Amino acid sequence: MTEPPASAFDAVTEVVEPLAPLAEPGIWKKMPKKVYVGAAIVLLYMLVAVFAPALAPYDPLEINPVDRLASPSAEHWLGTDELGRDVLSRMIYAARIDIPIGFLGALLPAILGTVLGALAGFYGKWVDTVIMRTADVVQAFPAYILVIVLVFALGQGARSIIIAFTVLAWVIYTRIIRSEVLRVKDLDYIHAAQVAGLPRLRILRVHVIPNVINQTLVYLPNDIVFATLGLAAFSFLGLGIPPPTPEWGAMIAEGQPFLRTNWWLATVPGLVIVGLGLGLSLVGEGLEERLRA
Amino acid sequence: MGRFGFVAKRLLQTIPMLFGIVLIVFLVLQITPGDPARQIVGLRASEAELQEVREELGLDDPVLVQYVRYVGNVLQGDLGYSYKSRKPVSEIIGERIDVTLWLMGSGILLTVLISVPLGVIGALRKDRAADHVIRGLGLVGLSMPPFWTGVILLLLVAIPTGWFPAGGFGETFPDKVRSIFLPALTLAIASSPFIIRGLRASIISVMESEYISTARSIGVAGGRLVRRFVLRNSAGPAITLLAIEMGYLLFGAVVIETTFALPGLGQGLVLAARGRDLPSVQGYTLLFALAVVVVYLVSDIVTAILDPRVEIEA
Amino acid sequence: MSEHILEVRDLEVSFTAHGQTVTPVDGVSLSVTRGEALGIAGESGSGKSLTLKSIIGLLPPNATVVGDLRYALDDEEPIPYAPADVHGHGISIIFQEPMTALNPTMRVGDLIAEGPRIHHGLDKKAARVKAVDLMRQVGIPTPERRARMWPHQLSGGLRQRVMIAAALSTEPSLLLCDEPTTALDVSIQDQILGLLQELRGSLGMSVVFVSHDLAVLGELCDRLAIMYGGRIVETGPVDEVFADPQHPYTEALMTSVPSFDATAEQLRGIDGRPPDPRAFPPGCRFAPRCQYARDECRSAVHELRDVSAGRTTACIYPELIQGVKR
Repeated sequence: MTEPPASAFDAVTEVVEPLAPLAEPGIWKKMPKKVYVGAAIVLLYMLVAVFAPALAPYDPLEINPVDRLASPSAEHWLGTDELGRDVLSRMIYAARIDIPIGFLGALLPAILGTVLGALAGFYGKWVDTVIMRTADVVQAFPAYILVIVLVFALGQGARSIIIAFTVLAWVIYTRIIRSEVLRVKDLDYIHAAQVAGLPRLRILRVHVIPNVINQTLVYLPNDIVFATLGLAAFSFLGLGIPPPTPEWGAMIAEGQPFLRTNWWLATVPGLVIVGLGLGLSLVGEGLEERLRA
Repeated sequence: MGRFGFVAKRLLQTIPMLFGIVLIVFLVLQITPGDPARQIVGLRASEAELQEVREELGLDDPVLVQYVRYVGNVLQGDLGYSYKSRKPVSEIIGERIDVTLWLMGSGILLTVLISVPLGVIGALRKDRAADHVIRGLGLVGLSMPPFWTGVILLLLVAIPTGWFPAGGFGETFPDKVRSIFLPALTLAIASSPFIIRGLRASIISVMESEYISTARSIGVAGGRLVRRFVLRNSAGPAITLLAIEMGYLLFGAVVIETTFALPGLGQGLVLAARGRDLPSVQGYTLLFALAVVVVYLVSDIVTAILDPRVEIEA
Repeated sequence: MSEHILEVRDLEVSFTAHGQTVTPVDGVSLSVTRGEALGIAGESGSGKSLTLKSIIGLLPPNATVVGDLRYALDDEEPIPYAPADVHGHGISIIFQEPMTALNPTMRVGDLIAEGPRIHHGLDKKAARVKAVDLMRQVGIPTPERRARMWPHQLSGGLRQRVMIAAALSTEPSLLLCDEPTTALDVSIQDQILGLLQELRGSLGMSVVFVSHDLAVLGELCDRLAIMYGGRIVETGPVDEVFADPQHPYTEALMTSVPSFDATAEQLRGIDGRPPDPRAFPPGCRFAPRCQYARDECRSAVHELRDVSAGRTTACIYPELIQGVKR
């Protein structure tokens, strides 16, 4: 009795492990609960950012010297800061800064790193050498210290922060994707595509990248956490988003001198950051659990 | 090749890395907008004064000449003069390095004291209640910005108890310990989740090895199994991880020194960057990068000592 | 005094993942008498190694083990035991790949000294002397020097001797062997087999030896159990099984063993693949590959039954087997 030959698809799912392909039917239904909990949290933050003008009771930049450092009350749920600005409104508007920059600061290096990793793994030779040696040098540096230096050189602001993250954070994606591509590249169905005379770039785009992209997706939520925390940290240090734009990390720094009297000024923005970080981490952990199963 | 050969080879590898680091730090000077001479002499200085400073610093020389001179100066320990205080950068660093070494040293010590027990428990109680609690705490720890953790510790520990100063670095040894404890704890809370996660994964994979089956079959169990068969085999990856986290730890030190008003290198870097004091920024960056390279080197050597097989792989 | 040192009844080993349960060991019963060497033969995936590991409780934590395991201490009747009870007390095991079975960060002498230190309360120095004695006993030259070496500094054959010394350090009365010669060169294989044979005689140990290699089993063992698809399909004294197999799978295994006078026709492998534990065929699990199979074979499960004194088979048509020219 002879068995049917194993299909190319079987071979792929076997080798691309430990990550299962996202295209596998029903995989989204079988996600662990924490993915949904985390995604709901993240979605809530995004909605707050989108509808900030409708949600915020006051103008976040409006100074009111008479009403400085007010305690929480019916008018100001989270009180006011040292310039009399409504803290709740500033918290809500800060979501429009922290969330887009955090996402972009992780997404851009992920895209750059994935593309470079795929090129290095697929083409090999000098392409591989140039990309990987560059990766070595970048990785040898303390990344966040270099962000300070890059922001110093490029000037303060969101643009510099995003550029700095992109220049420094791509390495991990490149390494993972490159090794995945090297594995996938030797599979029979890739050989078959080559023998069939498909253009190499098309093979890379259609047959290789879809099979390795999960690795990027699993890392992405954690990197968004890092980018958001990083942005908050640079603003806390006075090197990120310049005032008066509301930003969570800068608000913590502004509130710290009043820790003894108005403790909520420095603590509540941090809680908001932790909440977003937890939501993203839950998504990341859940994705990893499901795909590594 | 013996252990000595491995260490020598590893030392040689760091030399080109060091030149690359100096190059990048130097290049920052070149792309930074603004005229260094103008920074030094001030806005009201005459064109003649400007020119004098330019010539003194060799700012009109070709870039390559400036780079060679910079490398030469760095090799002699000359990092230039601060635009702000006019003092040599190396002297400023000398004044501040003490605090940062205290912070990093005690922070890493606390990290190890927290991570090793929790990593071992998490691995040995895999998927049970204790493991879930540790992993949950890790997620929360990962999501907490270190500067905010510091603020919370000030609010919940320093202010109510009065045991720890709210900022600054003490003069006497007991005062130093008191003023470094909360910053070090903050650093440990920020770094432990990574180390716990890595150690747990490493121990779990060691526990699945056949030599653990061998040890069990001859009746080695409990603490003896962990001490004699598990820890040394899983320490290597955890130490490497700690070294890789070094860059993040240094950044943590920068942020934490600012939070607790500790007059260390990190605070110095932040003040220099805010004040656009370029020679100081260069000096601090060079030092931090050097620290990371040295830590990588030390971790490789320690890992090699822990693992008797390294000599054949080198 | 009971004759049996080990009794295994209705052993089942199963794993559950993603709501699906597989049972790669599915109802195995066997016994070992004092001083006897039992060989368990089968292809990879037959469940022979899992059977061995469940005897000493070294299965991965996600395995579920059901069944009755009994072990006889000293001269008593076999009684049920928990695997941890026999670790270092009566049962030892040696593995296929001595490199992965030895702690890479422990000097081999220290590893061998662990057993004497824990179980015989020897101090560090006395345990070290004992370790060197054991190394000499398993034929390691210059044991004092080699005791201070790391596993990676030893050759494959010496590593396996270290493994055997570590197993003997707890003075077991039953030694389990999980293909201990498969990873070694042929000439080293013979030396290790010779050593095990010699130790068995001098120490009076019982042995359970698992292998896919019938020739190896024939050299060392008194009795054979043939496993296929998670079940035992035939048992009997080695000579009788070789001379007159009572199960078509045994016959197929024997024809796949090369011998010097074998013709090309006899040197064939077994057609088809070993059965997938996720979907065992109904009835006799060998039926899909069996040249004699009939409808009755495929419909009902056939238990082991006695065919003559000391011989059992699960085949319902053993008389169809033509026998193997040897």
